[in-house]
Amino acid sequence: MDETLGNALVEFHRALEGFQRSFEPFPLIAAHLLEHTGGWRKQLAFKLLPHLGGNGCLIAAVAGGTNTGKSTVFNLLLGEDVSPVRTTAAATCRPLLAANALRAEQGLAGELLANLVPQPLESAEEVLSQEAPEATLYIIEKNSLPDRLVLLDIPDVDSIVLDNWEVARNIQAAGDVLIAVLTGEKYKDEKVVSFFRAAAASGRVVLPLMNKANPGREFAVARAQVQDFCTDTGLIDAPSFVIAHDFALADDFARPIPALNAPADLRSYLESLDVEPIKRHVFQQSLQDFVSQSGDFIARLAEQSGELDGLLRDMSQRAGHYAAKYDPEPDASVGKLLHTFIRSKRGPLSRTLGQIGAITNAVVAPVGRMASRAIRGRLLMETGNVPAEERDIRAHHEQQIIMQTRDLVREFIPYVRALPKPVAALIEPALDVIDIDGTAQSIIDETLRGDSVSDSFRAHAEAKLEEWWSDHKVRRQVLIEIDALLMFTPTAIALPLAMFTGGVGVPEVMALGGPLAGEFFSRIMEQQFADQWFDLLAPWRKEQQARLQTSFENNLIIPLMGDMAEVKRMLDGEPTAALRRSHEACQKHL
Amino acid sequence: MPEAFVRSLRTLEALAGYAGPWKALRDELPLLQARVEELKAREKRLDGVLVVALVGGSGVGKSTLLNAIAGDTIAETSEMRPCTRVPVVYHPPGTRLQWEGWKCVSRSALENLVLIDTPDSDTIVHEHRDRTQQVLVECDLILICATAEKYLDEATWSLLRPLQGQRAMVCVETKATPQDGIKEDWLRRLAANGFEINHYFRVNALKWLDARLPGGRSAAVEETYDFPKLDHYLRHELSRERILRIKRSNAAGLLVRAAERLLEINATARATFDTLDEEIAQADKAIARECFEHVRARLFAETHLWAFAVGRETSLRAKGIIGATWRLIEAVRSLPVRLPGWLPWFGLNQSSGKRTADLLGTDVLVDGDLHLISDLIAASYRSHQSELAYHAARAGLDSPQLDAGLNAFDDELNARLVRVITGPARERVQRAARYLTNWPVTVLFDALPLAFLLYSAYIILFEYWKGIILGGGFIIHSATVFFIILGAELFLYSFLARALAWVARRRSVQDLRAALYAPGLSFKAERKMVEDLRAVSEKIESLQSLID
Ligand SMILES: Nc1nc2c(ncn2[C@@H]2O[C@H](COP(=O)(O)OP(=O)(O)OP(=O)(O)O)[C@@H](O)[C@H]2O)c(=O)[nH]1
Ligand SMILES: Nc1nc2c(ncn2[C@@H]2O[C@H](COP(=O)(O)OP(=O)(O)OP(=O)(O)O)[C@@H](O)[C@H]2O)c(=O)[nH]1
Ligand SMILES: [Mg+2]
Ligand SMILES: [Mg+2]
Repeated sequence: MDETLGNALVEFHRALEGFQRSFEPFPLIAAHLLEHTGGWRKQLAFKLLPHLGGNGCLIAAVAGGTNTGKSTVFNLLLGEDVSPVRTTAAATCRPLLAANALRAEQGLAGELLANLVPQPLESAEEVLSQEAPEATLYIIEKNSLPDRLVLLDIPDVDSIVLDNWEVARNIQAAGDVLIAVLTGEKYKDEKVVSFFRAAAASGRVVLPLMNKANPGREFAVARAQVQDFCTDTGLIDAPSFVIAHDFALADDFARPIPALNAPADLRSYLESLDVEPIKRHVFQQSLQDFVSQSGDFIARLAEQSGELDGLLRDMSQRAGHYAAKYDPEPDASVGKLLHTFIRSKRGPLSRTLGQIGAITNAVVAPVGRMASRAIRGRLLMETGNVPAEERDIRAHHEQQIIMQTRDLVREFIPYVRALPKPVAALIEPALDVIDIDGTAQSIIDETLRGDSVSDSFRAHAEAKLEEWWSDHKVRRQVLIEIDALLMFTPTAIALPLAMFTGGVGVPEVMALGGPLAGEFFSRIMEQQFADQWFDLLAPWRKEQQARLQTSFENNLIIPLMGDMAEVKRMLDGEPTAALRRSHEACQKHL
Repeated sequence: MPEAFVRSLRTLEALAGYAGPWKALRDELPLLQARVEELKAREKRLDGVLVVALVGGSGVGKSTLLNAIAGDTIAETSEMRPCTRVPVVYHPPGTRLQWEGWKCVSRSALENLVLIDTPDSDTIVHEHRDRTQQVLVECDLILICATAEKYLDEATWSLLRPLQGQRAMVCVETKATPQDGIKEDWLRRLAANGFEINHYFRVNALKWLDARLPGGRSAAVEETYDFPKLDHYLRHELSRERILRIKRSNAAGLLVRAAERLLEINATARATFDTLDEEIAQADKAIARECFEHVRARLFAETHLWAFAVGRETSLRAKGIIGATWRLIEAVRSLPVRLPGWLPWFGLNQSSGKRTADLLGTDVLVDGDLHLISDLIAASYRSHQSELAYHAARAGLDSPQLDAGLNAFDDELNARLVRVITGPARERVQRAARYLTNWPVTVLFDALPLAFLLYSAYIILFEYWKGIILGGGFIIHSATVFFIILGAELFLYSFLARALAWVARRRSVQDLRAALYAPGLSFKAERKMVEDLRAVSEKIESLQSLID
């Protein structure tokens, strides 16, 4: 095996570890992403990485359903009673490896089966206990075995003790040869068949052994059953062996396991196998399996990222939808624009008069307002609605925003809860602790900042008004005339009045007249050309809504979806890229 | 069936039709409905035959066992796996059975008993497992058949686990040999996993069959182990009462399972309903406070409205000289207020103030609509409502319709305001008017001008008696004094009226507070929702005592 492949595999392994590490903060999504990756990860851990050096030793494991006689077969292969045989099911729980002195030493040093924790077997009962960690590998020295072969007795693949399946699968990945211990009851069982189908597909040598067989008619039934098994697992011309149902009951283990359809008995056959080509084939096949399956996994990561992206976008869209519902009301700063414009269009004389008027207005208006309120109150018994003031407009806006924030989050809650669990788990913690009032307050602070009229909108409004002004020559003229008329009428009234009163009342009339005219003029503009106004304000509204949306984004979406965005970043970014790079490097070696 | 069962079933049935906003409960409904259907079906079948299913992995000898029990070849057996493809139903003649696609053999000698041989639970032929599952739905008693090889297979266990407590189960260890059995280990594992097993039979059906079938080798009864016991159990021990007991216990098991699931859902939701209730009460109080502040700062702060109302009430009752003058002044004074009412085409709406003033008096000129709800209050209501909706969503409830409710609130507020104004407030205004217009006060006020008039008349007459006719100067003088007296008294009278109006207004504020702070002003729909939820929740809780 060449070095570059080894490096590539190590590289991939590191990348995978890095990938898992970076997803550690999100255990659920990590579990979701790594779902159904057990197969190729085991190939990588137990076969591809440890066998880089290659050491000329065939690893044969006795596998199958519970109580089919795996331990019995193991003992028969060794010719002595080593592994405990029990009438009860799911007895063997940890793998037991038998090897000669040299291999046993290697095994204890962890060179034979990497990633398992080797331990010398002190008492045979140990393999029956579930207490030792899953990765434990018991090793016993049996010098009757040659250098080229080690034997393993492993737990079942179908009992209610699910840990046993896991242990069996680890050894399946680590092994080269699997002796499939079958019986008339179990050769068709889904769990058994799928275990060996996976083993055969990844290049392991699978040797069917029909145990407890009916010896009648030269094992005709057993033959048919093995044939069935081979078809189900995709094995072609597999050498098979047989043990008659009364065979194993004797205490004498020193008997060969006869062939059913094989050149020699099982032990001799195992010893006669060509180690190197088998190991190479298993390795190559495992590599192929691994490359194609991990490739699917990497492709799936991209899909996942796409899904998350869709979710993120969907959330933003919802925020946008709510922002579009926001209906900003123009406040004083918007109104001022119009007044400024009109003032700029007046002639110099009216402008001066208007300015005097505006100043007087500033002084007189509050008094007038008070007076009018008093009159209305006393005479007409009006108590109700005082016109909305600046403060009220702001309060109204605040309330609108708070409600929209709340409604948006309210909509999120069932939406998020309906998402698949691992994805929902990315948002739910943030959603659970979200401080709605605080969030709404920051959104308000950002959206209702002092300068509610942007420079670009000011420019736009002025351009628009200017355009209107130049496009509507007649209307413009009428407006100017009215303005002038209104501006000078007070003076016209005031002059003759002054002759009678000797000046008393003239400044009063003029003071009232100026501002009145200004007001009247803008009213006409507002009412008469409301449609133009609407157009004029549309971009301003848009601007406010966009501002709200950005604010939603910053204060709500980002904190809520932070984890998801982070996961997506990782899926798009380095952890995955490293996997992909090393995967490509491995692929070159196929 | 015991009454508790029937009652629980009715409760479950009612709950299965739930269509409210409680999402977790609604999500549970499909399962609950299926369970209720099954319970009803089981209740109906109580008097029927006992359906016994032979369940187990392929090749454990289920079909052989059925044949042995029947003493005949009913089901096919084979050395190749899997063998049985469809359930084989072995039933006494006359039993009405409608199991499509299953093989029915109608010649059982077993009374009250239907035996079903199922396909396997564990081979690569997945349809077999599905068919077995269908049999499991129908059956009452399961004979778990297994050998030493298959008694711990996850494939079979995973079929049986969901039926714990809902089916009677009996273990049958098949293919018994002289070797040690698995009984102890099997029963221990079953017990550890929560299974309740009542009987255990260790049998060798093949030997029994061999002994029975024509041409078979004869075998000693001992070689069949517990087979005779099993045979006896099926034939004789399953009496009518026993069958009924099994069926009842199965149904009860299913019922308990369904109830437990609901109780679980309820346990997590219960507290959130309480919080929601509290939140609604708080929002209600907040709205009440806002309304109170709003109305007090407007209608109830306007002294002139109350003075106007007291003045008008007084003018209706006033007597004597001062009274008559007061009436006159009132008529003139209220002219601008009444004007819009006379000139409707002017388009001047009656102000809310005017309406209130009218309502405070007896002669109601307008209908009882005040609708004082302002934009501010409406907005605040909506805001509170959205907050409640938010909390509801948190609690896992569907969002209620937000637009609804404002009108109901407006009506309620209006009704309460009108009730206060036309009730206690009007009472106070009228009491004030009655103080001012009762006889002693009238006499007291009229005494001085009357005395002065009498005195002036006396002077005129006395002087005339003396032969002096008093000149215009005297008349003017006394008239002036008279009018000064009148004016001063009117001023005093008006001052009194205002003072009484002030008192009436201050007192009425208390009435207003009491009226608006009474619970139930707002969020009717929300309160109704929580009430309904609590009712459902209590219904679920009632299951607890029943299943106990
Ligand atoms: N009749 C008969 N019994 C056998 C044969 N082989 C094994 N047994 C019995 O089958 C039972 C289980 O044997 P084991 O070798 O412990 O089986 P295992 O596959 O290791 O079982 P677990 O480790 O529990 O999964 C024991 O009671 C054996 O005596 C056989 O060829 N014929
Ligand atoms: N030695 C022995 N063999 C038995 C016994 N019962 C059944 N067998 C054999 O076991 C094999 C399978 O029996 P079946 O009755 O077909 O098994 P099954 O459980 O119906 O199998 P499926 O229909 O595939 O689910 C047959 O060859 C039977 O002869 C028994 O008590 N002792
Ligand atoms: Mg074993
Ligand atoms: Mg069968």
